[in-house]
Amino acid sequence: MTKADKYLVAGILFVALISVVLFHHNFLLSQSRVEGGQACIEVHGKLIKKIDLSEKGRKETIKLQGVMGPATIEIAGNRIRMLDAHCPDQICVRRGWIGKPGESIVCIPNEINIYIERGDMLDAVTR
Amino acid sequence: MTLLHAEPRGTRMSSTRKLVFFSLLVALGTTLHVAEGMIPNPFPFPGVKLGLANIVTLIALYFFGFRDGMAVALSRVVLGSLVGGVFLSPGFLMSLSGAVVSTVVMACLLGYAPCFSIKGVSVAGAVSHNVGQILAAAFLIQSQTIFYYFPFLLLAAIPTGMVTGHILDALLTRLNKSGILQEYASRPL
Repeated sequence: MTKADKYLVAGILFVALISVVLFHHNFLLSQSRVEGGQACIEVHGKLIKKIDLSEKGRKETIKLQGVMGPATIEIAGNRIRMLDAHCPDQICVRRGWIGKPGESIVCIPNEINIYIERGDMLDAVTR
Repeated sequence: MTLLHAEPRGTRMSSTRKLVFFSLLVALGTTLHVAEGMIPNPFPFPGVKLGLANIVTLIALYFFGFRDGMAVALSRVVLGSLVGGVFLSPGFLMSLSGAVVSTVVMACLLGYAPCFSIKGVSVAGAVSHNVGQILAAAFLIQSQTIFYYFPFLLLAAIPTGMVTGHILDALLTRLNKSGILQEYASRPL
C-alpha cells in the first residue's frame, strides 16, 4: 500500500459516509413528518399505482406483471414489501419491508421500482 | 496503440505467443465471470461480488496495454453472459457498463498515476465497476431511487478491491519472476 492508495481508500470511505449521512438525515427528517406516505409502484419506468400508506391496519396484496414475470406486493399497515417476484436473485424480496419516505425496493430483472414518496419534506425544512 | 508502452522492450513476443496469452486471459476471465455469478449475493442490494474477473482484465492491462485490456474485458463479459444465459439481459448490461468504466479507470491509473500500487488500482477498479453498474441500472429502470444503494456499493468495493489487489500482487510477483511475459513487463512493482 502506497500513500496514494491510502488516500484513495480514505476518499472512498469519506464519500460513502457522506452519502450515508445524507440519506439517513433525509430519513430522520421524513420520520418526524406524518407516518406513511404514498407508495409508488413503477414498472419499466412507468408509474403503475400509487398506494396511500396512512390507513392503519390495512392488509392487501397486489399482483402485477413485471418484465420477467409476475410479482406480488404486500401492504400491511404503513409498510410495503415485495412478497414474491419472478426473478433469479430475489434481492427485491430479501429487501423486506419499507415504509419511510425515500426508501425503495428495486427489482432490476423485472424493472419494478417501489418507492415511498418524499412529498414536500425539504420545503418544510427550508421555510 | 497502448497506454503503457510505445514499443515493447527487448525481443518482440511473436504474434502466436501473444495470441496464446490473450486467449488464455479471455478463457480465464470468462470462467471466473461465470463461476462468480454462481455465488449467491448475501446482501440485500444488487451488484456486490468479489470481482475476480477483474484480476484478468488488470493483468491484460498491465502486460499488453489499454486496447488489449479492453478487448479481454469485453470478450469475457460477452462470453460469460452467453455461457450463463443472460446475454443482453439487464444484468449483462450492468456488467458491461461496469467492465468498461473500470477498465478505462484502471488503464488511466496504471498509465498515468505511478503513485498507486496495484492494490490501489484494483480498489479504484472495483469502485468504478460499481459506479458503472449503478449508472446502467439507473438508466435501465429510469429512476434515481437506485442511488440509495450507492454508499453501500462504495463500501463493499473497498474490501473486494483489496482482496483482488492482494491476489494480483502475488500473481504479478510470480509472473515477473518466471519471466514468461518478460518482454511485456512495463512497470516495476
